[in-house]
Amino acid sequence: MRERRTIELLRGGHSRALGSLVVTGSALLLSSVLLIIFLSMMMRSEWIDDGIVKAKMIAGNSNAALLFGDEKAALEILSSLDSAENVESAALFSADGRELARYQRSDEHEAITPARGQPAGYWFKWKHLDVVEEVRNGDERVGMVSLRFMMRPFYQRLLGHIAVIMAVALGALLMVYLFTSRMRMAVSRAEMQLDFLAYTDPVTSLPNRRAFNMELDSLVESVRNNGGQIGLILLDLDNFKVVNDTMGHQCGDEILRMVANRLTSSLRSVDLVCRMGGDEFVLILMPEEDVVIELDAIAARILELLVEPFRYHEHEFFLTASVGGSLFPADAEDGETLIRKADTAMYSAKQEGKNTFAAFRPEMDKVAQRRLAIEINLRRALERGELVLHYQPQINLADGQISGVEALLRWDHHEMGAISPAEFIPVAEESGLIIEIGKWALQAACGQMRAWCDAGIAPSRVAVNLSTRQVKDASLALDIHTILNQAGLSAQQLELEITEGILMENMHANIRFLQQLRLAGVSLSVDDFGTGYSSLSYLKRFPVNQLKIDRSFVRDLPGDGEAFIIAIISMAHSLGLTVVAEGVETAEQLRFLRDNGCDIAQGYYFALPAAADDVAELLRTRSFPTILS
Amino acid sequence: MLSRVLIVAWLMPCLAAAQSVQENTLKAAFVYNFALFTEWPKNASNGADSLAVCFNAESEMRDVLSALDGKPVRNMVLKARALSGLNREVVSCNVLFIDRHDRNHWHAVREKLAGAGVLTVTDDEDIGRRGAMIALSLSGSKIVFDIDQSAARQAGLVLSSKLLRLARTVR
Repeated sequence: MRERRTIELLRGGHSRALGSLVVTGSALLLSSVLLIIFLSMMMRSEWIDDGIVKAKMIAGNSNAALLFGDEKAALEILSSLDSAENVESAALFSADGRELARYQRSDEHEAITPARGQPAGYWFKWKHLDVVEEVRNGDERVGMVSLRFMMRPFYQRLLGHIAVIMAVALGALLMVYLFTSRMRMAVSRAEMQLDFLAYTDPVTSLPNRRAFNMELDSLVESVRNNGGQIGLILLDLDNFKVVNDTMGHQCGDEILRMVANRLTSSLRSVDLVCRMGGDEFVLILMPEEDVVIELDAIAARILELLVEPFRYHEHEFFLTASVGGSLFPADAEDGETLIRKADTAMYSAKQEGKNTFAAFRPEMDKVAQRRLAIEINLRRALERGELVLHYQPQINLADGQISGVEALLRWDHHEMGAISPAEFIPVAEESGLIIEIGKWALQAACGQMRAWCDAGIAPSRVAVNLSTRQVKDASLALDIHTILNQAGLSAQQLELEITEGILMENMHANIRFLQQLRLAGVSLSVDDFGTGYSSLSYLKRFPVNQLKIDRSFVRDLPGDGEAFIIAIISMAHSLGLTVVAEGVETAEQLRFLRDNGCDIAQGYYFALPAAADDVAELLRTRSFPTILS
Repeated sequence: MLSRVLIVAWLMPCLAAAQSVQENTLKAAFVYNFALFTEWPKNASNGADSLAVCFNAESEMRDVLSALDGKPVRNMVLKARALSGLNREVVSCNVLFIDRHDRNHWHAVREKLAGAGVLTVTDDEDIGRRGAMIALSLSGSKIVFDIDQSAARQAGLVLSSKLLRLARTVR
């Protein structure tokens, strides 16, 4: 495609160069013609002046000869014209028109004879210039002299001049051509360079989004006219951000190049790989005639390509990708829709847990549409007061007392009904609304805590979930401080639940931030422990107080989860951390946890998350004595 | 008027050279033309606006020379003066025509004229040889003339180079 554009550019440059040459040539020709006309007019008048001067000289010398009728002398005078090579013939006439003497350069020439009484003057013709001049003695006219000049020398000289002018014009044209063609070449080189830059991704040297759009449009057009199929595969690297954040952009760029190389080397030449930006690549698949595109197989091959780790200096990176695919004309009617469908499929693959492929299916559109509706409505949910906090008690397994409550977001949309946090929290995180919502949740939870304190039923702390995005908000620490102050709470009354993701990403900045919170007295709890990229090392480095065992492990109790939970509890305790188990639903689960030293539990077994007023009832009793039995 | 004279001037030789009347007319035309190509010293002129052409009243040329009377020469007019014997009056002439009748007086006339700006023209071979400035003669059927340039110069006269060029000989 790039080559095609280059050729077009070159062809354009060539015809433009030719065009300017024609213009310059015409201008030169016109000026040359004008110059020649001007020159020939100058020469003509010079030629005439010269003829008149010669005639006057003869006239001035010949008056005595005419008066005395001296033919010999007259002929002698005329013979002096022998040295004037352009004189063809000459004659002297008396006042009454009789010829006194005649000069002829050679026999073939004929002297003109002015008609009797013809006035002085000249006659410029193609073959001759005739000049007739009066011979005077004083005031008296004593005769006439007539001279005939041949025009051949005139034309020879004119031709000589024309030749020189044309040669100069041609030379100038040649110089103009050389100069402009060199200029054109420089310009078209620059244009090609610009064009290359405009259509190429500078990092990977792959065609960029713009080039991709153009190519896709033209392919769609050709398939529309000629039939066939286009496959689109959209590839988004799942955890590439971690590479950029931890190793810097230079490393990130290098790895993008490696990904680009692996993708291009695995594809047939008709397929096109473009970088859409960020960590997103797109492949256009154009099969030979009558070959059905098997998106699944190709996507599997692409995922396979990424399995081998990427090496940058001494580091190794394991990358996975979420891949979405769509087909034209099966899934979409135009290129733009085709991209959107592939994007929807890719998003779906990400939702399904990443490192996988999803081909577009029509129901994905419904999911995407709902997601969009959620995002739009979420923006106004705060204003409308649709978001509320529910609280779930956390029970201290040592004494059966409620040690704290976890604040959980609930959204009851006026039309769509209750929307699960599992559905809207990811949308809030992706759209950035989570910052605003998270801040609101902190305020609401602390406000509620204040109310419980005033009522004398407050638990020892309230736990609020903190999103990854919130941690990046520079004003968070100050916000927490302000909110606590406004509610009149001590930092010890607040617990923040963070995910393993926060610990993994942007480690150094986050450590500093969390240390600040810890120093202020805020408790930190690691949520969903065991589901992410757990690394024991971060537990040592991060100033956390508590681990929350994910509900998926508790669900497996009694049975498969037992050994794992025992291990977590013993490890946490040896690190000086308390352990919370969430999702406790049965007495067996509770008993197992209690027997193995788990500190705190929460779950349906004790209480569902409930509105503040309902929780207040529980807080008044403050204990679940049954658990001790 | 002048052109008519000139037509005659060069028609004559062809028609009848032998006829002396016509020959004389032609000679007179020559005399007139000589006047055209001669410059007189300023003080020699006998009048500011006229040129005196003198000849012996008994000369055969009397009639033809008299016919020149009134002809223009540059910004002047010719006056034909017939002299009865070539006496002192010759000094006041501008052109003096002398023929064979004056052969005997020529020596005396010449002495009278010494230094005076008078153009002397003759058709006599003998006088021509003896100091006349312009001598006319017949060469075949044509009238030719010889010029004594030194005599003219002594008289303070300037003869046009064109005239000198037309002369058969110049001394």
